[in-house]
Amino acid sequence: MENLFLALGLIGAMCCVGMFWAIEQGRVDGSSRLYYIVNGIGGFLILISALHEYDGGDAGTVVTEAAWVVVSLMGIYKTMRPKREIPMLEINNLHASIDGKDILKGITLSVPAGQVHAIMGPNGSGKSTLSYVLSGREDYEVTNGSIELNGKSLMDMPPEERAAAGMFLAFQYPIEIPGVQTTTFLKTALNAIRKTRGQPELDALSFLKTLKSKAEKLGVSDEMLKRPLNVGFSGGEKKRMEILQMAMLEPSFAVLDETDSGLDIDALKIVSEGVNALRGPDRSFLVITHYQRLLDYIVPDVVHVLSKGRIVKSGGPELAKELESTGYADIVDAA
Amino acid sequence: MMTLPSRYRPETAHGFLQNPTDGAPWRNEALAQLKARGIPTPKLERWRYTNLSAFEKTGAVPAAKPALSFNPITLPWMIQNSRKLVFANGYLVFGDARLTLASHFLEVPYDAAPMEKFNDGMLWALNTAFMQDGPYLNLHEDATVEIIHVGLGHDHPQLASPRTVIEIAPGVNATIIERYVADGAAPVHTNAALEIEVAAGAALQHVRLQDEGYSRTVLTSTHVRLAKEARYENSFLNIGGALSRQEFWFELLEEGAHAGVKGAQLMAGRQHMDTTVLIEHAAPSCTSNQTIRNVLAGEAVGVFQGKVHVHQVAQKTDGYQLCNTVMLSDRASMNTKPELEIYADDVKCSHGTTTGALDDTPLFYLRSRGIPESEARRMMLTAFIGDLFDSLDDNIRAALHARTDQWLDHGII
Repeated sequence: MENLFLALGLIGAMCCVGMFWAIEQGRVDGSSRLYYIVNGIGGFLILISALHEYDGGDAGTVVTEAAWVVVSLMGIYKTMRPKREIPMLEINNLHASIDGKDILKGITLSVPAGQVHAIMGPNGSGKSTLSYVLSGREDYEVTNGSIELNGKSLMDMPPEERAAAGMFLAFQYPIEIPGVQTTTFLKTALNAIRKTRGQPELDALSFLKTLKSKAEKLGVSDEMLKRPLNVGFSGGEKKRMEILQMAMLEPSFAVLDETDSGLDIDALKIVSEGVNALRGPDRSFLVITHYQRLLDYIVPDVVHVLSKGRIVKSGGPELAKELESTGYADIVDAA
Repeated sequence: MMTLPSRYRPETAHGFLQNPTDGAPWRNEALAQLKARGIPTPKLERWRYTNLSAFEKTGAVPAAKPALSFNPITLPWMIQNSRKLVFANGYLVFGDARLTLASHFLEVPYDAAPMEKFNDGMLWALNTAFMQDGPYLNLHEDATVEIIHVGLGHDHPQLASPRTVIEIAPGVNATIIERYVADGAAPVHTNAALEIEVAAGAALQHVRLQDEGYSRTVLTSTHVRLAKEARYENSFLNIGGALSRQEFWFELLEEGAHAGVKGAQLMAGRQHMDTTVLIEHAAPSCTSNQTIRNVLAGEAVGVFQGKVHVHQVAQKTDGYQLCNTVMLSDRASMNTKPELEIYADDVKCSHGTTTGALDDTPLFYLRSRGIPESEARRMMLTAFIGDLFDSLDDNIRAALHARTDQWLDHGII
């Protein structure tokens, strides 16, 4: 029995010394959960061993080990907690300009996981600039501020790395790429993203299977998939293709830039259903729109009003309805 | 008067001229022309952007007939059952028995017309003076003919001068694939001349893949004459050669004829490539089409000169010209000269040219979908060149696309 408690104490000591060695070697991070857990278990074992030996004399050891256990528990709690609290997208004091002209003048915005935020605003307020800056278009210069996605800064990433990190932009005017077959394009994009994320490439068969089932739901025909990307597509077809791309690439954060522009009511319904099907606890959306109409179909959690490069008002879905009846002038003037 | 490069003076030149085997009078005639005018220099309007002085300095002598050191069947043929011809340094070394060959050749009268026409036909004269073998194809039935030119030799610079004569009989539908391949690094330069006649109602699809070694000079002059309702389509892909120039001269001589030239020039390093086209609409209701795409990397220099000349009789002419260029490097340069000269009043002629870097917006679009920049650029370049060859036979198109892909793979971008 004596030996058992001695052995427990020794194992506990080895845990703590081992973690000390690991941190010296740079093998673990001082704030990682592993560090806290192993140290905590080690401290707990030493505590048991010390308590067994306790005869009213060596109180110091017991208190020290008890303190170790408490500190470790706090550490574990601290490393687990941010998972819930860091918003998926965090924009802080973002300033951006193009050709020396300031467009965004200090945007601060955070979108928690699973939420849909809408950005509304008059023409020229910087809505499209925001979408381009988020996805990393090089023509725009970010002069101040930060953008974080899932706790990672996007600032130094080129567009393709942002895509791999989970960012997606549905374009207001999807680009025609003559000579690149839609299916080939989708496969190249998906495999490029998987490669960057360290996942194996999809084989042709399972890719086609996934593509077919997703295309069907969006009413994208086989014939469209065989055509060059967006070439000769109608406005509605182009927007559906954007949503299909989103469904295939499964981003964690999607920006929809005026997805409703140029859509008739039927197309709007199909596109909105496609977007709603992708809503989930692990995915957030930023819906940029000029009109309230789209927000009847994709109901947002929060609505922000953008004017002259700043967010001048935020509120619930009712704010969009209010804007529809009063127009932008009141809010913009008040701000 | 300009002085002739010494290599091309009759008294010092080698090969044919020291020991003329045929003694044909037109050789001396051509040499006299050449002697009077010299090799073209940038002082001539049609040669402003292309300078042959580097070619002159190579000191090439008329090429000798080499032994073919490999089995011609191993050459990169595109069509399995085509009629095949192989020319090494301008000499016939392998030929399909179904074709009429070089023996007819010397009876072909010397065509001095290009010389008189432009005052710059020296390359034509140079070819005539030194011409070796060449295909004489008189096609009376539908056929696909593949011609491969290889340059074989040693350290001493040589000049191959193949002369191709093609006559397509009325109503015949033919395809001719003309390919220049690099085999080793021997300095064998080429100055080819092609005379093509397409008779009434006949159609010729002419494919040219210029894939010569990167140290060589490749010059071609192609003269096409078209009769009533005749069609001539050229599809070319130019990749090789240090210095290359291809000239086309189309004469639409009778009603309803059509001439088209579509192709791509892909250049990198310090390559110089020139495509110069003249289309003469000399009859009513003829159509012509020029679609040229250029991709320039490194310090390459590209030239496209395209002229449509509509004679007064040529009413209802439809002439179309488009030249698009993508520059992948700041140090490359492109010279584009579209020209229209119209004397008829009821014609439809259009021309357009664009020169620039790859468009940012589609590039960003592809990258925003996770496609890395180099891959996105590649996709766009493939697409830029891709549809040029869509109308061709599957095998030919696949061969041209494969060669394009290989060029793009080569770390050009």
